[in-house]
Amino acid sequence: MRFTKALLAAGIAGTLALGFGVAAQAKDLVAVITPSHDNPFFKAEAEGAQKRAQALGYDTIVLVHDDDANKQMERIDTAIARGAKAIILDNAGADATVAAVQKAKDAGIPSFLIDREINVTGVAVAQIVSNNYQGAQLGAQEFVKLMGEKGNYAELVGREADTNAGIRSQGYHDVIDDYPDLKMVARQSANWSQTEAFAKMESILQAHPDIKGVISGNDTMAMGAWAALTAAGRTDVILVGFDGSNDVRDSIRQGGIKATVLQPAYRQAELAVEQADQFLKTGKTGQPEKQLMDCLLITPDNAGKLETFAMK
Amino acid sequence: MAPSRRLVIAILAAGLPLAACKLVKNEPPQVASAAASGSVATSFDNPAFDPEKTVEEIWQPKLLPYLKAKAGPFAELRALAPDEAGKRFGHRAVDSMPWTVAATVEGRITAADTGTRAATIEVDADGDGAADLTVQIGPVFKGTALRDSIDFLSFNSFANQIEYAKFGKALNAHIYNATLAALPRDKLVGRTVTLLGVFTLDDPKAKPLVTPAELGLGEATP
Repeated sequence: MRFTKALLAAGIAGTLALGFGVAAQAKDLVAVITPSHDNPFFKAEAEGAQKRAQALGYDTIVLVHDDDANKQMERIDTAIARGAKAIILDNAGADATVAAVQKAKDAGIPSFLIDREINVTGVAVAQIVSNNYQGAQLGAQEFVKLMGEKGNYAELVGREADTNAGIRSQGYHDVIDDYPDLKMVARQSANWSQTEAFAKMESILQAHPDIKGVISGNDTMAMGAWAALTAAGRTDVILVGFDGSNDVRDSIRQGGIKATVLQPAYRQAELAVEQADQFLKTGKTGQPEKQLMDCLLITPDNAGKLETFAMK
Repeated sequence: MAPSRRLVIAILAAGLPLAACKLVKNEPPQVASAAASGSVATSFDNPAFDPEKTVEEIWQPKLLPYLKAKAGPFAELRALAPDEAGKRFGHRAVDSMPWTVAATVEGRITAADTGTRAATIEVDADGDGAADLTVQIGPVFKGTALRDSIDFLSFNSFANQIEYAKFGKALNAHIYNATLAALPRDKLVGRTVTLLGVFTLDDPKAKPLVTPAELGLGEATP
């Protein structure tokens, strides 16, 4: 149904173009596929990719897979059916995604991965991810400082199928575990989700009312945790996130959440499109497949310069 | 001394899985490995990945010759713009990352901050009495400059970010165990120091935070 609608739309667009007497040659299509735009991080990525692609003369389709590997496969099928020339993908799982990207490759469509990596090389053309280890260490160093190097704390971890959940947790602990007076009393996955983080934070608070700090694997979970802490009258709890969303920026500026770590998501999406463009024109990107981009600590000092996952 | 110690460790390591089997038959191996490395378990832990072994294999035969060939004298390097310094004396895996450069330094230790596990020394490299660089002496190190300086292994060479990070941490641990752990921490200030080290040009105006690959102390100078 959606497919026929899209065909219909394409037909109308084609007719319009002919009507204006413009040469009826369609622009090359770039497909942008991300998790749900409910998380502003993914929305910013999709926007960054879409605007850059349009500026470089491409048409775009923007699709979401909601972190569901089956849906992701359907979206890849859509991209193939629509004749996309390249796919920009923030994927739905390090293992589950390999088959989807391989399918696109077999159909002659190169994929450019952003934000999350997959567990193989040679299938995607590029995997551009934030330097999550470096970023997590920045966040953890700030957390340790804010905690005064001691006290009980909890950690909220992201989705287990996502390498980013593991690498951020490792970066946090490679710093925090060097301070013996900092004691982790709870470590739970809230699957990157604000509502899950709210519920997990409520139960952690009940089990451990003496908690002094919470370190979160991303900003949506931090927002959920902060809502639970506020509801419980525990705004004294030190909370540090990861992503650099505008929501957390605003909380930091109001004295709520204490810090976060900016991932250059907007620029990352633009860069993926630029590399796709270069690959389509020259057959190579000029960069290795796996690429890191450094993160930046956001505190009250520089939060005012943060806008939509980029520094002004 | 060293071989016998290694033997003991090998015996202990060989003994551990046996003991674990006896006590907890179905314990997944990644839990044991995470516990052994003092870290938390993640769903991407790979018990077959041995970063210490990789580091042991490359340190003497590859890494030190590579860094020695790459390194520039500290003063000469600092006089250059970041891109110049990076191209001549450094490496970056991708254009989206800052350069990491290698330098040789001869100087004098002006101060030491050894009250923290992220211990550092301040080094005056030009003889004016003011510190020109900060050198990490561990056991806790900030960043992955040693890893990021290498051009013969990259992120592409590793299964994922987690293993790449563990490799970076193992490089830092190697220089600590090989050299820095034995430094006389209360008798550093005033000593001369010679080192081969690396640092990242992420903020070219900031005083470099150097991770050493080799470090030797000389006599105290007045």
